[in-house]
Amino acid sequence: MPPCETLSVAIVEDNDDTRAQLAASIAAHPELRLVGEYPTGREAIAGLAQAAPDVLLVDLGLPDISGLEVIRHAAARQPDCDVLVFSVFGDEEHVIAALEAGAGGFLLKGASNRDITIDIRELRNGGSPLSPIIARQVLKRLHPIARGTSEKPGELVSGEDALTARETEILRTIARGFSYAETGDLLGVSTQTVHTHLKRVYRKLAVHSKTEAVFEAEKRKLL
Amino acid sequence: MPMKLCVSRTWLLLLALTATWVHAAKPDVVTIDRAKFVVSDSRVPPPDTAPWQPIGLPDNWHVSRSGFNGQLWYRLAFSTVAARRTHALYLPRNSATEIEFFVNGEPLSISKPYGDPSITELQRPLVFTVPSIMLRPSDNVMHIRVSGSAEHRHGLSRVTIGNGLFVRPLYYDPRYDLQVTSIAMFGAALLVAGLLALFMWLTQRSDRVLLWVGITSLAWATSADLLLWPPRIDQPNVRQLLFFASQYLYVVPLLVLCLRKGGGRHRLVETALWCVFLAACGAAALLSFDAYPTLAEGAAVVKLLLTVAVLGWLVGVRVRQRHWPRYALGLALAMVIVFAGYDWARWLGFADFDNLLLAPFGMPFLILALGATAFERHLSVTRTRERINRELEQRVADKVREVEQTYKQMRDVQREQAVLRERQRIMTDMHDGLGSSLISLLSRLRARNMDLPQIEQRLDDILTDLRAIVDSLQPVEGDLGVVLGNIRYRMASAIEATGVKLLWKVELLPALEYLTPEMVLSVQRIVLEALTNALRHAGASTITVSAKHSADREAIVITVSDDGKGFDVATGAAGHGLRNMRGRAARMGISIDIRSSPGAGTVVVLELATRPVASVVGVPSPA
Repeated sequence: MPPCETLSVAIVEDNDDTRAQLAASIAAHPELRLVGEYPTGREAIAGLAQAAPDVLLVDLGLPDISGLEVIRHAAARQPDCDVLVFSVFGDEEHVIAALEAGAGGFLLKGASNRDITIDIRELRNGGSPLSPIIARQVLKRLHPIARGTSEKPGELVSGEDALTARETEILRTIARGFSYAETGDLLGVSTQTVHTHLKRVYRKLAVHSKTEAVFEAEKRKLL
Repeated sequence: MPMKLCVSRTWLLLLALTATWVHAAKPDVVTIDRAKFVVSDSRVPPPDTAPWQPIGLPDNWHVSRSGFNGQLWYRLAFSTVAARRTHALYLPRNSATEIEFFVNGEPLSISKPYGDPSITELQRPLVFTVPSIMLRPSDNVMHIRVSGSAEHRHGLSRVTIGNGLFVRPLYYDPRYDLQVTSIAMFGAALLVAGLLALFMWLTQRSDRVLLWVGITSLAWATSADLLLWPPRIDQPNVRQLLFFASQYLYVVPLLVLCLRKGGGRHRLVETALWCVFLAACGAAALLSFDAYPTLAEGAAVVKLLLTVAVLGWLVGVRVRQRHWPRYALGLALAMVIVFAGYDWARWLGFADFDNLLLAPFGMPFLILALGATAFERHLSVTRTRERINRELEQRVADKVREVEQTYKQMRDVQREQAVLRERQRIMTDMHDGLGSSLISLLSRLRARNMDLPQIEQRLDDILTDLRAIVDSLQPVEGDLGVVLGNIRYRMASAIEATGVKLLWKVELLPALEYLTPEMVLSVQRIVLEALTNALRHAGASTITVSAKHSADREAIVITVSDDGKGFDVATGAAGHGLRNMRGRAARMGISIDIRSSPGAGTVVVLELATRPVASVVGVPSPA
């Protein structure tokens, strides 16, 4: 993606102040273009098709429906749209759920004073930084050896969903707190390669969650 | 084949009965019980001039001429009873070693003389056809040559002659069925029972009684077989041995069976019984023909006495048990005694010479009765065992359920307690940490003695602590690397904002099994404090965070160091912050070392043992 091209951005956020602040910082950026502002999930789902944003910012705690619904809808209908999630705490349960629903990254609310646009660019490049805790959970979920975890005994990650050796190595390094650049240096690859690998990991997580859903449905004789 | 024979005989019998009824007024058969005899070694009938003397039939030599051993001629007079009919001659027992018939001077059989050289006690009935051309219209004479010995209870039975059509079905066939067919059928029954008992014994080896029921049954069947169809052997001694075996083969197994059934194994008695049996067999094989009857007499007495004694004892022992087989056993024993007594009387000459030998009829019932008791016991044992097994299984299942239930309850209680503890800890953290921080901030705000950057910093600290509390609840599976990584992740923007360089040297660390959320929070707070101190007060240009596993110290060593201005640890200028760090570490059993001196930077070293320190595990939450 050439840097000069402008990105269209839509926001789903029920807090008026936050939404206004986000909208202002996006509008101020020359490379970003605001195409939608939605205070509720339903409005977002209704308006997304028309707005067709490149990037969607979603708050998980919406008043009407779960932010996950919006993410799923966007991932299914607008595969070109990258979804960025807000979270106050960025706890494992919410972030993993968001990633599995198809989100490409997440932001901590109020964690940084830096410009939101940096996060958006990072997202377009390959997903926003994974927190070490999340990296570890992803490892646990997709690692072929880590089958039969305490929560889901007997769970088996099939070949295509399983992590490759390089992906495992990258996730392990990130889980210890190293940045993408440091991880690249430690493993002797470029930062861009780390990004690429992580993008693949995000996809696997989403695919794996779908496989699991199908498996679950079969088990419950829904299919 | 025997079945067919039986059926055809039954038909003949019915026919004969009908004939008897039709001819009732004109009997066609006579039984001769008067004769004349003369002692003579002649091979042809002696002349009428010989010294014939009258005698009644049957003539039991043991009674009439004790000690006699030789040949006797009998002369019987009879009238033809059915003119121009083929006649039949019938004797109820073959009671001689040689017997030959002459009708009106002509030998009846063209073959060699009849007789029972094998001296079996069974003494089957005899029947001969007398062609009508040999008979005169009246005044017929029959000469009978009988060879034998008084000791062997030889002699001549009554002689029946008449219309062949009636003699066979009415006299010979019933006698044959009683004497031979019945024993063959008993033999077959015991063969089946014996095999069945052995099969059952194979399924339950511990029940030796069944084994002996099988052996006894099969021995009796063999006895019966030898009695009915003695092998043709010319050697008289071997013949005697076989005859003896045919009579006593089953006796020792029967006695052993009774003893075993009575309880326990009487090794000495059993051995003695076997010895007596073998000795008797040896005697039977060695004794002369004349001496054998003495042995037979003795053996019969011993057998009867032993059987009665042992069975009587057994019935006595079993008196307490009120099962039906006991009565069957008592009845069978009574039968054996009565039959044996009768046979004994017959042997001594007190009973009719022509009557049947009864011994073979008592034993099968006795053995079958014993088999029935063993079978009944086997069934009851099997049933009891099955019941006990079922009960045991049921009990085990109940216990398993109980244990599972208890375990589940325990786990539920533990989980509940853990949740309660965790909730209490979070409440404490909220109250003492966040709550008091917010209250102090609020009071300072109210007093208006804070500027904006100060407020921002305090709020930032509070938010950081709040995030630390939330993060401490995230699953890290004892991985301190993740805990440290997460601190860096949370602090990234703050560090970036100050422009301080952060050197990150966190190696792969072994998992700490005992790491609780509480300890994670403590480690987070200590490291955050160290980092914040370095960032805010040290004026450092580089901060290094390292973590490695030290094998010789059996610990994970976390170091936070900076190249800032340092302070004097002894004077405690840094005050409150250091005390906090030490306190937290002490409460969690983490060793902490804070080294600093003015101008030489600060190093904070944490050590967490790779194995749990006993005193630390399960310590209730500190405030």
